[in-house]
Amino acid sequence: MDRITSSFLSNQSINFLNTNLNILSEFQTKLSTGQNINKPSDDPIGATRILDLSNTLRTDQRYKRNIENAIVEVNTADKVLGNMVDLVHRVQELTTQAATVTNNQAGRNAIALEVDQIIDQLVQLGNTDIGGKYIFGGFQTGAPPFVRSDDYIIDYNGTPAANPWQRPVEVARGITMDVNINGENFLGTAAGPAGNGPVPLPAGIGGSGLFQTMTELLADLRSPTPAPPATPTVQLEEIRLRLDELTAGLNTLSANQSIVGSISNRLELTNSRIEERKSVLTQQYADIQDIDMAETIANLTHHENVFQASLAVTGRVLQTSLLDFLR
Amino acid sequence: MITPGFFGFFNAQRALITAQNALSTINHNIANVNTPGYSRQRVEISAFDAYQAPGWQAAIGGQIGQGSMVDQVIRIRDAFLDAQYIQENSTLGFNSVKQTLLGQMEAILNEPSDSGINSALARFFDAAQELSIHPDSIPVRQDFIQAAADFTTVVNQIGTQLYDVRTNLVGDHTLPQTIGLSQAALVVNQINEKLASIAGLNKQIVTVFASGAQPNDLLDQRDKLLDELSELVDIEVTHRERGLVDVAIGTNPAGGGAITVVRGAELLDTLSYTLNNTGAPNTLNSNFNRPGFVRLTNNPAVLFNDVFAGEKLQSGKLTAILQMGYGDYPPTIPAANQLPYDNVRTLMQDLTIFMANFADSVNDIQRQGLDINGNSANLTSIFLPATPIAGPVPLPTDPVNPVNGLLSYRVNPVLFGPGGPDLIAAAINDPAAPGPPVGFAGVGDGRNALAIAQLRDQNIGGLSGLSFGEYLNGRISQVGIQSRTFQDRTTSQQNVVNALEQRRQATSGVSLDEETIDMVRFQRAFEASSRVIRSLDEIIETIINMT
Repeated sequence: MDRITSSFLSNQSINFLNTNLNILSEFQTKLSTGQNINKPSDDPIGATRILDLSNTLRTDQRYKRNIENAIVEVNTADKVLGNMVDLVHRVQELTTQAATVTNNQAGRNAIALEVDQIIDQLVQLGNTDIGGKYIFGGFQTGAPPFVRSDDYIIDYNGTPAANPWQRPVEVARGITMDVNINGENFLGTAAGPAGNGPVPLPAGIGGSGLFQTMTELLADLRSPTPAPPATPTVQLEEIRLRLDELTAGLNTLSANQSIVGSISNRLELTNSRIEERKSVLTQQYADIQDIDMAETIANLTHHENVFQASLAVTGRVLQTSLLDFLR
Repeated sequence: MITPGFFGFFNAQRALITAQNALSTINHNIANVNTPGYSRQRVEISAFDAYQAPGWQAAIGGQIGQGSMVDQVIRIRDAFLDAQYIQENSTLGFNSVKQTLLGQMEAILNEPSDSGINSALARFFDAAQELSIHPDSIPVRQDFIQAAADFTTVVNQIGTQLYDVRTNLVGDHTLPQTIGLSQAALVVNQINEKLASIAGLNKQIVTVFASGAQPNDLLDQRDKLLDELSELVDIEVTHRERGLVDVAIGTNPAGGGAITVVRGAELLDTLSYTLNNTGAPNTLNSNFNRPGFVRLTNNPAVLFNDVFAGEKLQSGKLTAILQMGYGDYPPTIPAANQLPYDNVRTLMQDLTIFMANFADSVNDIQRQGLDINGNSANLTSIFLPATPIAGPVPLPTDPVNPVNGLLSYRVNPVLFGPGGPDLIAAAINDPAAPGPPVGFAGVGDGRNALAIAQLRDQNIGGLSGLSFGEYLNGRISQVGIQSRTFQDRTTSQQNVVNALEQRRQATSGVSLDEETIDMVRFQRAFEASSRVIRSLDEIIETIINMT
């Protein structure tokens, strides 16, 4: 049997009290922060998971912001394309009107006025910006991509449509999506002669796409009706020809609309995938990092009792001495 | 049988003296009940030589005792426990220093948190993503530069703190005065003081022994010094005749590592911690990484921490300080049952390698791109110090600051100047782009920034094929694992030492109850002897008065 001495007892008491206080201090840290892991050594494996998870969550948050940003642009593009389609429809109506024989020069002049304004509107729509950033100019976001310097001249200053230079956005780890469509693809350009008079045929107006069609239509409408015996049929034929070209332009617009729609769909899909993943990862994170309040407090109470008992027993053991009984 | 008339008085006198001596020792024990290192003392009592020499016995029918005497005052101590204690205490000193320092390293890394290096890195990559979406926005460019600056600030902070910890431990060889002020030097001084005291006490002890007495309190003092010394450094204690001990420092499983510094009363040698200025700078596997050497003062050729000569120190605080402070680079491959060797130095090196790779990767991409005006950014690095594109990763000890490469990293000051944000190369150099200038696709081109952002997930050759985040997390968790291990080891080692200490207390500790009982015992004996004197006195008085 060991000899128990008073210093043995007091040393032991100090050790026990210290051990108990250490445990209580751990509980204090856990309960005050609500976290299981406050430094890596609390649970090295768990800490690594926490670091990984919080990095993934943070990256996903970033991708989500990228996607939201892209969705704003894509949705804007979609609306703008819709507006353009409406405008082209209006031009089709006007053209049909103008193509009838009954329509005289004065009437065609009025129609020309409206078409002129619609071209201006299309240019304006082509120069749509979000917070100063022009969305249809490809990489040239700093300046309006379409400039109508003259009635029959509309230049495109953005990144050429011929090159698929599109702005990529990272939407998931290693996956990028091109979010923009280039204005030249669906609006084209017009490179006609300067001035607002008649356009010599058959040279016509250079350029491409919708703007070429529209400016040519404008020129046709403005051309004076040929005096008899010449019939106006040549001119009317020209105008009717524009109807087919307008339909082609509309098709291009719709095709771009569906491109934008599919980009938007993919973005939404990726976004909801990130949302789903977020809830799973957040759950995992919480499982590792968040303390179970009920359990922890129950344990704390248990250790409090132990601590109180150790205090009580220390008080009793240290006070007893033979000297109390020797008189 | 006749005995001399006053025979009994001497007998009783001896009994009184014995009891008094015993009471004095009890007094001494009680007085030292709380003295650390004190061993309880006990008087060895024996019966005094009997009256009459042999040969007379037949005539008187037996010997008559002459009372008691104190042979010796001895201390109750178990030398075997002492040897064990010294060994285990050495390991405890080693573990507890490692635990403290690893805890400090953890605190410096400050993870998991929203303000650690991990978050700063994530913020940098986030800013690069934002830049890839809005390369035409000056505020976004400014935020990117700020994120880069914040990141270097965190890295510099960690670098400064690690440097301070390390300099405090072992000093900085470029500032020789720090060597003498370092913890290593301090502990070496403590060791030397204790060695000198032990030799001095040995001298006194041998003198007292020569006079035939037991120098109990001197032995206690010396053994306490040995205990204290064992916490600082691993020692081998050899007990010799007349209470003398020899002290040897260091242990080496291969043999020949322990060097005797105290032989009895003789102090053969002391330790010194001096500046190490051998070895070429920037050669990683040299003594250069050890700012100071622990060596024998009288025999400076004997080194205790020479990378080429093998380690001579295995445990104790000094060993832990040296291990945590200098470390080996590249780290020595640990044996199967050993932990990877982790220390402040290695952490600094690893973070510097990380920064070198990071700065180079970002700079490489930046310099291949075009700035907001379409001009080449080849001369505008984001991070300094910069190395040429595709150049070798600089040695972890950067020439700007050979001790702490981490401190030298900063964001190129040009970027903070007027027009600085314009210089960030968010656009790629695309030969097919019409410009102007040719190669420039436009201010909306964020593809180069995207390439920087995508570095986040790239595996980096210089970081053993890990991504930046993985490398950092690996490093952080390694410190965490080691810290945890040494917390556990320290706790269990503390338990071992406590158990030994309690066993020692059980043997050598003063029990007040025991002493009280003895006190009563010898008090009674004293009273009884006094009573005997009175009886004798009465007897003599009777004789005198009756005759």
